[in-house]
Amino acid sequence: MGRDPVRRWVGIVGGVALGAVLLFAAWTKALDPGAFAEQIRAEGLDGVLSAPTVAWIALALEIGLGFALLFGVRRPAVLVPAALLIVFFLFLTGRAYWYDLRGIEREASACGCFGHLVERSPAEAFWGDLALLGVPWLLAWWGRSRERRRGLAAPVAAVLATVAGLVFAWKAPELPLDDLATRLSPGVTLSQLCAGSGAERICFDGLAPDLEEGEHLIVLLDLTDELDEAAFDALQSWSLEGREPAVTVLADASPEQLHAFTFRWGPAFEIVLAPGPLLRPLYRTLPRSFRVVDGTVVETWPGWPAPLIAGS
Amino acid sequence: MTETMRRILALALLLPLTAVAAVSAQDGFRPTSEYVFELDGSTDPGAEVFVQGQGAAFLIVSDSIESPLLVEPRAGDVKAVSLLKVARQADGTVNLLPNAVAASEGAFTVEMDGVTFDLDGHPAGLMVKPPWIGDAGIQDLLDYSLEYRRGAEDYTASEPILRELQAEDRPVTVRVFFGSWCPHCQMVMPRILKVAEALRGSKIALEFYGLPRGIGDDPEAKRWDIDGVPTGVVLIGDREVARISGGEWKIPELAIKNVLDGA
Repeated sequence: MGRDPVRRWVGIVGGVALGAVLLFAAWTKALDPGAFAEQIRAEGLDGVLSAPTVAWIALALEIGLGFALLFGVRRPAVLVPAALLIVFFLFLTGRAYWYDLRGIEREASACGCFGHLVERSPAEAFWGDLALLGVPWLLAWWGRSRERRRGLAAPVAAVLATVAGLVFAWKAPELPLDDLATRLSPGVTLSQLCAGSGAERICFDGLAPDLEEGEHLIVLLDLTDELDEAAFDALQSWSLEGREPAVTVLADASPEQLHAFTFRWGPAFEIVLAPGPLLRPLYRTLPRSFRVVDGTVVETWPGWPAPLIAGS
Repeated sequence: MTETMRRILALALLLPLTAVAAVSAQDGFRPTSEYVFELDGSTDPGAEVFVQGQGAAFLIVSDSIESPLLVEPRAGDVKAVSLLKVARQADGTVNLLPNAVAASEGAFTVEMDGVTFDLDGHPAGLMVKPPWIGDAGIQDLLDYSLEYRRGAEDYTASEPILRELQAEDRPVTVRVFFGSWCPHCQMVMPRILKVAEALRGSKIALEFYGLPRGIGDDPEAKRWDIDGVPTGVVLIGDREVARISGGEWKIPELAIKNVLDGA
């Protein structure tokens, strides 16, 4: 191997590129492991093991292989599992693409290896994964290490980094990373928050056109959750007193759930029902709130809207 | 009986009265047609239902009942309100005058499609209005839903686009399949109705068909292969040229124009 520097350098470039892509993909999932587990469930991949277990195994594999490749470990022991992982991703995105081409609607959207954070159409997900994962893998395989001598430093570093990555993923839901972990952050416009593809594509500006003008406080809420009564009362008083900006709650719920919520809580604020695929990439935990001015998100809060709680 | 005991007794007698009079919801009731009032098992066609906010409180006014009824979800009960305390506003909303004296009619029970309660021995309920199923004209839908009517009044369609559509010389039909139960339809139907009204007398006709919750079971949905609402099937003559669905309905006149420009 050392005798062919071109092949060696191609291998290094391919390995580092593949490692970086796997680590970026792992990063997007590690920010919200719960959402990743939900995707696993939606894809029907939780037959033998539970969805969270499958999610953590996949995450560990992705982080481990990513760091190993980044640290220059390009042996079959790394490249073969990496190939299997790539084939698995391509199977998922390819299946979604195939359904999409035939106009078959599915609950799970084609997120491929990048989780909820990056929005891609089924075609973009398939071809993107093929290019970003397949090509570097081929380069890494062509320039794989063949030396008999095997240093321990890189594998040990990869294992340690993997452990650190998993600890981060474990703690991530408690860290204030919502803006980073979701598609909802200051500067984003409602027209950029979309789900679905083709004729079924829907964006927030189409779902709730009234939110595009003026200032609004928006709360993402699960109508079936037990609510914090004090926070709810603050929301209620704000709306009953007609204070500005007006509050709108967005929820993924059936009309029956809305009905049950209405007759239990008697909301004074407007509730807009939104499809799950549109809402789910916007939060890690509910409730989550944000302020919109003329269709652009200007501020976000974990939980209930801060001005409303402060003003109560 | 000592003075202190008399005061305690008077206070004890007054407490229930203050509880009855404590009607927390007071103003900003707007008329709604999402719910209907049922008495003795049948819908009261003359009843008016008003709602405060999304559902903070509901007010039922009808000649069939002695006094208007206030349904308060948070309190979980129904109260009778004096008709004299119901102040109708010029904009169609209703306020309850301060310190309205109300008698409690008891608790309500939440059902799948509304709430039921006992009204002096008569079964009564505030029920979700049955969905519109089948063909509908523009006026039918504006009469069916006050929310559609209000939304249509509030929407301003693009005049230049409407003029362009009014000048269309091909016979165009847009058959709009909707669900009166569907939240997204609730947002866009008023806009579609406004555009449909504006295009009256032109070569573009909008037809409406309401589907039930189980869309796939409806023969008309099967015939047109409809699997989601709102969906507009655009026909030029008898030839289907496109379908409008999802977020495309945000600006209905633009969606129709885009289809016709490409057809």
